[in-house]
Amino acid sequence: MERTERLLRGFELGLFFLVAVLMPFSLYCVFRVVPNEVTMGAVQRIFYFHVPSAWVAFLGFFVVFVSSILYLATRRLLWDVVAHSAAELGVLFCSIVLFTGPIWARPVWGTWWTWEARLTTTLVLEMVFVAYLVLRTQAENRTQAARLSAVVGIVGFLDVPIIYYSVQIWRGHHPIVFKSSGGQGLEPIMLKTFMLCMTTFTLFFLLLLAMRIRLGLLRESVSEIRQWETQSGA
Amino acid sequence: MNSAAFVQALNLDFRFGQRRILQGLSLNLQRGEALALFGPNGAGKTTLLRLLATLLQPSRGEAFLDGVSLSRRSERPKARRRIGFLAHQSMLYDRLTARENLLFYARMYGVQEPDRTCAELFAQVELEGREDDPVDEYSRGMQQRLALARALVHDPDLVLLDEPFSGLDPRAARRLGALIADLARRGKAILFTAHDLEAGLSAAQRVAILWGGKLAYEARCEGLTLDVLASAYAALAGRSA
Amino acid sequence: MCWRAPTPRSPDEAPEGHALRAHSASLTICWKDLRQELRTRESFTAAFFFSLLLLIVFSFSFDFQSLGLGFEDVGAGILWITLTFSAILSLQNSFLIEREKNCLAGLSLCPCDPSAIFLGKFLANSLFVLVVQTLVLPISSLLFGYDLLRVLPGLCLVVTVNVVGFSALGTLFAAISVRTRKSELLLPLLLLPAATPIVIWGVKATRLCLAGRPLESYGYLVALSACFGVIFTVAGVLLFDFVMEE
Repeated sequence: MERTERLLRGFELGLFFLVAVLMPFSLYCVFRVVPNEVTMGAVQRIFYFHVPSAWVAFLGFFVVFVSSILYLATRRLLWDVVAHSAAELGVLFCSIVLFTGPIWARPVWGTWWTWEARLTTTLVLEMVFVAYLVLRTQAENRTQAARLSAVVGIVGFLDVPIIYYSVQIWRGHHPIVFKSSGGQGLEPIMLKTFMLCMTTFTLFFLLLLAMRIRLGLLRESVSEIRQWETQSGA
Repeated sequence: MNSAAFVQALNLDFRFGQRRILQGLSLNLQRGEALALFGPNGAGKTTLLRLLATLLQPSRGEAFLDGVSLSRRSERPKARRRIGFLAHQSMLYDRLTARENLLFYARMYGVQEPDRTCAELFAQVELEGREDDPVDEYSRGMQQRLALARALVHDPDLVLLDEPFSGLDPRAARRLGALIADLARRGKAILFTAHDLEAGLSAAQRVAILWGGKLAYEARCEGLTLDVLASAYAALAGRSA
Repeated sequence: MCWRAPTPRSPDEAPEGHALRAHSASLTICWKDLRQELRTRESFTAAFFFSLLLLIVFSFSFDFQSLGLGFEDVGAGILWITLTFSAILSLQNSFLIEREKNCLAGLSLCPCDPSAIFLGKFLANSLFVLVVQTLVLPISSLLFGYDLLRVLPGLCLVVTVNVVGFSALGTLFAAISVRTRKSELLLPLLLLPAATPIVIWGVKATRLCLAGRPLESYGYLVALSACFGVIFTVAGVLLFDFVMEE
């Protein structure tokens, strides 16, 4: 565990510096550099946060999937801590998507929420992984929490594309959100800013993940020490 | 370590959450031998039985039945065919009749001629005439006898009994002691836990005390008196007080 | 009275025996569940009366006749919400009866593949829900005044395929939630978002069926639900071993 912690600390440090540079720069680009979108105006800028958050949430759930499989295969508690951390962050970024979506929708569509495909999918996905987190709190013991939530994590992620597809069938298309000055597709500056934001958010996610994993591992150590004290003191 | 032991547990560690229940426990059991396991509540007796029944997996160490590891997932079905486990809870379906319960388990264990086997078992546990009553109409004693029949329906080679003597009247306890002796005579390996030192001592060939996560005391019953066993138990209790 | 020795096994019988073939174990478990249910009818009664109550509540909530709507407009949703929630009751009960007296451990001790337990339970659960529906659908036809016989073949197909898919995922999640505290809360919380595709496809197909459209127009939805069922049956078979551990 100690080597893992040192590795995580190293990652955290490196990522922190990267994010500390890239995040302000991204914000600058989004608010200063990129021109206004022709039909939607300034509020369209929210998509530089909205879409990367969605991508990061998906990435988080993918990490849950992989580490759940690794946990069931190896039974190393580290993988369970990774899964738990990634699930929490996934739910967090889903919430950001669901928060920024309506902020954009209100001025553009005149309503806070429409049941359009991608937002609905995000909502359902968030519920799946909220249930994952609730399951962990209701399990009888640590090992059972890890094992049962690993199964849910695997099944939940397998369900992601199916849910996405089914909601698409249920509803129409997603609005086109990257057009400026009447041209076809994305303007280069918008595309570059978008890719920059994607990168920044991904690195930010990885930073938070590393920190959260290290916190989780510390919690395990504390639990262990407490149990050892109780046992030897009794 | 006797390499020919029918049941072997090597350095078993078991953690429940963060609590270490078993620490480096090693155990041997031969065919035709009944081992009585004593120990205080929470010592890990039930945990050990459940580990040997393959219901739990040790965090460290391994257990073997007739040379086959109980930790290997692929071997577990075969191992389970040879293990019978009587737990605290009866594992019986309340709303089914006794016969339906026993037939269900007989079929699940692949018993040949399940009807005949069940009829014999009903006779042996003295539940003849009550086979078609639903289990929730049974008294506690009757449920225990039926649960015992369930544990033995597939004629297992390793019989694990969790506090089988608890709540039994003297006559029933004698009958159970006779059953254990008979199972041992027929070459089964039996491991049972008990609180009653006298009952355990009279029914078994070996005794052991589980304390601090491992076997702190082991002895053969031949020549062992109740006083010696009781004082060994008291000594362990005094040491950790 | 002294203990009589039971008849010993014949010496040529292999001591290892054989792990019970998966399909025998599944059918034995399914049969055991059916036997229990026939004896007590408690799961069926609860699910049936709950469905009835829901239909009544819906008829108050959606007074569609006075709104000038036909049953086809809201009927699919009503039927599927009713089915979903009563199915959750059945699924919960299926494992609650195993939790009593620690019968789950009794099943774990059996020398069969854990996936056989999953398949047996899955089969029984699907049957129970379908049996409840065979009564609820005719009653809904009486209450809401739509012609059930006209749409019966299509509706049967849609309901059967979607119930089977729902039961596949539901059996796995019910086995997971029964081991936790507050298991009654956890099952709907886990199952409803994950079963969204079934609900969406089931409702859409039912709506088209009730509107009298031919099978070709909603056949693809039934096929999608069938795929869902297959995927999560396979997932259940592979993962049930981990759920059954203690």
